[in-house]
Amino acid sequence: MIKVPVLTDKIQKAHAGEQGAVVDGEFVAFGATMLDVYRKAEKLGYRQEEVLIAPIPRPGVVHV
Amino acid sequence: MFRFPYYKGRPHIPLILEYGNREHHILPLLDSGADSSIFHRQTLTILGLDWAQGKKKILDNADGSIFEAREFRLSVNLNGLRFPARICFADHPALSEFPLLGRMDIFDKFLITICERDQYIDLKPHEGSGE
Repeated sequence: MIKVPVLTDKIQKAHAGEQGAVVDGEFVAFGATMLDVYRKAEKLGYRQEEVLIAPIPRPGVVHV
Repeated sequence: MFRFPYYKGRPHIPLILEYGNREHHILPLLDSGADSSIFHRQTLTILGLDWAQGKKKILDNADGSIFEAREFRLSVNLNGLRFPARICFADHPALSEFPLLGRMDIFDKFLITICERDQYIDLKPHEGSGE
């Protein structure tokens, strides 16, 4: 089962609007785009199949 | 039954989009107001798909604007339950922040309970909904 990550306020503030790479429920890399964050995760040794791409929503923005 | 906690106060569901031997693990927002699931166009590159090969669709947004999308039939793997689904892709910038898991080919597979108070989603697969 893919774990839903916990996005802390600190990470959200630092990476709002970016994409995050999540492995086993933990953020391991961030990037402006999905392709960018996959590249960064692969440099850290993770395979694409291990990585969940999670968007980092901007804090305080109400989605309608 | 699958239970997923909310992601930063919203009902997101982790799933795998599969095409051929490629897969993309993503965390879209569960959106009962969206007729179709829609993801950012860059997802096509990740899956090795060609925008031009998709079925052209015109979608409208909550603000009344319209935009072009392309629809593909992909395999969706949701917690090990695998089923085909029509998924749209578009360039719309909001889709990076909020990829949407809409109703078509998704909501008919599950009894879905969203518990806003306790911030979780339960998905109970209907019999025969996938492999």
